[in-house]
Amino acid sequence: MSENKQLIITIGRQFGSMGHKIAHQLGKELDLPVVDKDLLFLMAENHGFDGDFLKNYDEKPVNRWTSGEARGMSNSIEKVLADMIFKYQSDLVATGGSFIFVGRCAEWNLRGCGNHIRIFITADDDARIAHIAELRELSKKDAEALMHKMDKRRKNYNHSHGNKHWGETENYDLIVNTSDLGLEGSVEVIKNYVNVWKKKNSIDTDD
Amino acid sequence: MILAKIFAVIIFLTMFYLIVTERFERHKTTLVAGAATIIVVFLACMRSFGAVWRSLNLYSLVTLGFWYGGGESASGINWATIIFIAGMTVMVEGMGHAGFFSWLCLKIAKLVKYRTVPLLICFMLMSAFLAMFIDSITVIMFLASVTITLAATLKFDPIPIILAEIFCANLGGSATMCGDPPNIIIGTALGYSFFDFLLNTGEIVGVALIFVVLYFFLTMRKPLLESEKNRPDDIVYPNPSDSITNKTGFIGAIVVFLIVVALLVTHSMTELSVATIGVIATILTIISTCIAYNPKTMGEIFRKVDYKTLLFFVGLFIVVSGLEETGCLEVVAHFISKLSGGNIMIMIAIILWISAIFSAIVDNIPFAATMVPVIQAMAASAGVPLETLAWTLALGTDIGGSATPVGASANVVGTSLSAKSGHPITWGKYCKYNAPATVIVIAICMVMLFIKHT
Repeated sequence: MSENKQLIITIGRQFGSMGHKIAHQLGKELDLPVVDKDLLFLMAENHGFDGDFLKNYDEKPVNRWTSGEARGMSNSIEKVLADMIFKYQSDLVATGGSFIFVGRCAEWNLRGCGNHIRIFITADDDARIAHIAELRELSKKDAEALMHKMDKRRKNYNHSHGNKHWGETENYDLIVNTSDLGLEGSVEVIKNYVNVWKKKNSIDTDD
Repeated sequence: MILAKIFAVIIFLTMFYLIVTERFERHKTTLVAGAATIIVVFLACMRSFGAVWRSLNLYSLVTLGFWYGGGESASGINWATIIFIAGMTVMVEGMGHAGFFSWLCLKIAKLVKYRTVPLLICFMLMSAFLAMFIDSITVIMFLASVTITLAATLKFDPIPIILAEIFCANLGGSATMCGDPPNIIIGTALGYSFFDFLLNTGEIVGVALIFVVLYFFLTMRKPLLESEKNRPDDIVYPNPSDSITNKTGFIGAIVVFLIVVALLVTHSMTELSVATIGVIATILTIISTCIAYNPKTMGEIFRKVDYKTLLFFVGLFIVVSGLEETGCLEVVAHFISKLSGGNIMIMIAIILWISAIFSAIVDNIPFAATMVPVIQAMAASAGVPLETLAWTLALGTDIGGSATPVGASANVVGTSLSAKSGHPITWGKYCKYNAPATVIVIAICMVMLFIKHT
């Protein structure tokens, strides 16, 4: 049993579906570190980048018209950043620890790493618009526009890095709609799933 | 024939679109487009096996003129370009493996006592000089890497130097026949020698380089000098000799390089074709590597050769031959001739600026390959010296590529290395410095072409 301690959870999410909050709540309850936007700042520290500058390129698709490739290298900052993120994700997994990865193509990048649960968080449009409007202090119209823009961006980001089935059923082990369940209910459902999965696969993440 | 023309243009435009947007690897795009040209244009529409045979151009490989004595066919796959590039790549990989480039960069840095402004000027000149003989991607790969290492040690911002190195690599490449792929295509297709280029494009580049060094000195001096003030006292400077992985291999690589440079400089006298020089470069590298290391190392070097680029050329030349066989390029040539009203100055201006603008946005290799038959037709129909148009095309395509981060492969490699090291170069930052430099150099080229050729 002691050899089978690692558990990798990747959480893909639609914009405004509470994916970020769910990941952090789940991390707290399962006692697992959550790798989210903060990884940008960790990477920035390691590579001498400006973390705030990197935020402008995070989860953005590669623009085919303004980027070029030569000898496997790209001038696209989005692509360079994404490659660094993927390497960072893989390096973390290679440490043998258990993690929850939020977005950033992790479900695709870490495919085949073993003990990997792929989750996708979704919600009805109305619920997402209300959530975005409240969180960002926007009108419903602006919140809706932002929701569509960000969903499109995330989809294109995943597509441009090979994850062609982002948000589609075949890509995930569990898809949760948070509209009715809310934050607590959704975390409960996922936690139950993870516990059953762990039991079935003889995973023991507790030290 | 009309149908063949339409399909040839459709295939060409689709290929160009796919190359620019990089939806697929570009060698796959050109190979599929090449196959489509053979099947649809040559066989289905023209019903001409002769056109297929001419586009594959395999017969040229068994002619004496291909290897010795000159006389390259401009039609179909330009095998001389492909063989020469392959040979030079093997040689350059051998040099890189021995640590030659890193040693050279660090040696120069040491000679200027690691002061940033002299470093900027020396690296610019070295970038231009090396790019005259070897491909600019390799030049930038090593120069930018050493610049980044030095920047980390000496605590300065490497971006100004990398931008200047990129510009000079493209500029230096335009000075000779082997410096940049468009020049190799133009030189082999039209039968010009290394010296022909050096005396024409080289002379213009020499003048432009003075202005470029001055330009980058004036624009980059301040931030570099400021960063020098923050330099810590307890720096451990890198030792150039540490870059050398194998002394025998290192000496062998330099000897091979010098022999190849000598062969290139004298090839109009020895009458050895560039394809032969490419083969000699490969054989000498194999011998040198096997003596210094072992055959296994040779395998490593061969694996590093960019076969995808060579395949890219094969497909591209077939597609361009589709336009040529169907007479599409003659239409373009007549259009440009008509637009210029037969005035050579207008012709130079049109070809120079159009190729520069085009190359700033898209890959300059397909453009140059397409334009070679166009300028041939223009020279024949308008009675303009072909040489004039060839130098104009070479300068426009090579230098125009410097204007944007995607204009040339060296730009992509330089900006990518910079970003990976924590110094991202945005489009805005790149264009702010290198686009005005491109405009200045193209203007200088235009004036000098006017003076020399009208």
